[in-house]
Formats: sequence, C-alpha cells, structure tokens
Amino acid sequence: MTNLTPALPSGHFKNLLTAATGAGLQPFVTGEHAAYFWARYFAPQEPAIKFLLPETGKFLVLLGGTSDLATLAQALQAPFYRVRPGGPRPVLGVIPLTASNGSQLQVEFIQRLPGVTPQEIQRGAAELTSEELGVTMRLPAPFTCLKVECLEMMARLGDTAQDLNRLSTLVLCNRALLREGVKAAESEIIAERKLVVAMETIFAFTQSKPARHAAEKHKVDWLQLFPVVELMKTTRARVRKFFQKRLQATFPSCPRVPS
Amino acid sequence: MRTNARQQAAQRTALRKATKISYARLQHLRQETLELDSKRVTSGRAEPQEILLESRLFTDEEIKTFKLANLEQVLAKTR
Repeated sequence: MTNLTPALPSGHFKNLLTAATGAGLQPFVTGEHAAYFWARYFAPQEPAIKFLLPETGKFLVLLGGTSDLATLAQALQAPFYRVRPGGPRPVLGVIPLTASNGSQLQVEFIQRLPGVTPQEIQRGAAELTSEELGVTMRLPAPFTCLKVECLEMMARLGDTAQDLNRLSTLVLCNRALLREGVKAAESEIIAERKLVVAMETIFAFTQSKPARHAAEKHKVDWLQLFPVVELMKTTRARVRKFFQKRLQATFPSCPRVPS
Repeated sequence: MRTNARQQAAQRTALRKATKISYARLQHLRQETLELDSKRVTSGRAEPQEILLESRLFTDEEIKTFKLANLEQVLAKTR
C-alpha cells in the first residue's frame, strides 16, 4: 500500500475536504464523522454533548458513486481501489492516504445507508459551508443519523458504550436542530407547517418498533428529542397544538401547560 | 459536479484500471491503519491525543465557522 499512497500535508481530513470542494464535489460525510460534526456543531446549544462526544477514526466514509470516487482520487492525485460487492456494507471503493507525518487514513465511498432510501437521504441532506475554510459539504440530517444509528444498534447483537454514546449525542443534536426550527418559525423565517410536519415525523419514529425497543433496552427517553421549554413557550398555534396533542398526551414526563 | 468530456474519459479509464479488492482486503487495510497508529504511540512517535486530533475532520474552532445553509429544507424533508 505504501508505494501507492501520496502524502497529505498536516490537517489531514480538512485538506482532503478542501481539495474535494475545489474539485467541484460536495462531499457527503456519513457515519461517525457526521455524528461527531453534528455534536460539535450543536455543542454550544446543548452543553451535555461535551460529556458524550462520540469518537472518530481514520476512516472517513463518504456517500457517493464511482464518479465521485474517481473525481476525489483525481483531485488528491491518489490511486484508489474498487471494492468488489459482497461485503456486509455497500463499499464501492477506497482511497488509502498517507499523511506527511506518516499516519495513514482512508476515504471510503458507500452507496447507501441502512434503512434510508438514497432519495430520502439526498433530499433531506444538510448543506454546510465554511467560507473561511473554503469547504462545502453535505451531511445526513441529524434525524437521518439517529434513525440509521438506531437501526444499526438493533441489528448488532451487543451494543457498545460508544453506540449508546452516539445515540444520546444524536438525540441532543436533533433537539438543538428543532429548537432552531422553533425559533425560525417564530420569526417567520421558515413556514410553521414545515416544522410541525418534521416534528410529526420524528414523533412517529419515537412510536415505531425500533425506537420503542431502543427506549426499553437502553432507557432512552424520546421526549428528549424535542425542545420542550421552547415548545411550552411558543405562541405559534400549530406548534403549540403539536406539543399538547402529541408530547403531553404521550409522554408522562412531559411538563403540563394549560390548554 | 461538472466535468468536461476529457475529465470524464480520464475518470472512466481510472475506474477501469483501478485494482479491485475484496471486502476482506478492505478490512485488512483498516486493520493496518489502526496497527500503525498503535505502533506510533507505543514507539513514542505520537501521543494518543495527536491520533485523536488526526482522526477529526475539523477543530472545534473550525466547526464554528460552518453555517447550515438549508434549515427549512432539512426540516421539510424529514422522513
């Protein structure tokens, strides 16, 4: 492998994503790196996240096709391998890289995520841009990350503390995102209806079989997915109705407010 | 992604010429990467903290520079 791999300057993944953006790609970051990014992104709004930070590894998993793989490899001037189908995960290919300090990392391309259709994931993808860094990337929405994590946990025989850590982190990330949604709906930046539809979908998930199973097995309180304080205070009628008809009616631990 | 015909042809050639590996070989590559980092730590060439930092996409300060461009779409397309 050593003779194939080019050297990356320090900054590793950041430089790689900058190169990808420069090549016209909007890398679609998934897996533990997506969970970690959301955790750090929302940590200022959810202080508990700092106690739960999920770990990341040297394998960056990007969602994409073979042309994305070839484009990134070209931009990095790196050779790549294609992976034959048949493994437990749909990995299309891998770009092995060696940084200038001798450390190795890998970029893997996968075709799909478990339990989510490609259309679903592409349409609901979050676009994040840093003008300072010259990076634009996409991430699965926090709710997609949560669903995938929940399904993957269910599929595994034993759960590690790290899995639970990641799930708890994603619960808080979703709450932070919905809190931004409530604020945006109150200032009429986004349509209230769209926020309610999103909350209804997330609520329906909490009542699904995998979610109920996770709640029972790991003592996950799905009410934590919702920004209860903001929902209690909101003046938006539809949002308020959702809070009363769904959360108050379903979760005994949900605080009561007069109708 | 916009690529011209020449780039597309180069991509097709690169894809055709790329070595194909099995999933087991991929797992082996992953294992090699992890082992190399363990060796770097045990030989004193790297601190565990350094390995953690290398494994992250961005620093906390860098993450603060990102803006979510499509909150409404993310919420509207929640499925």
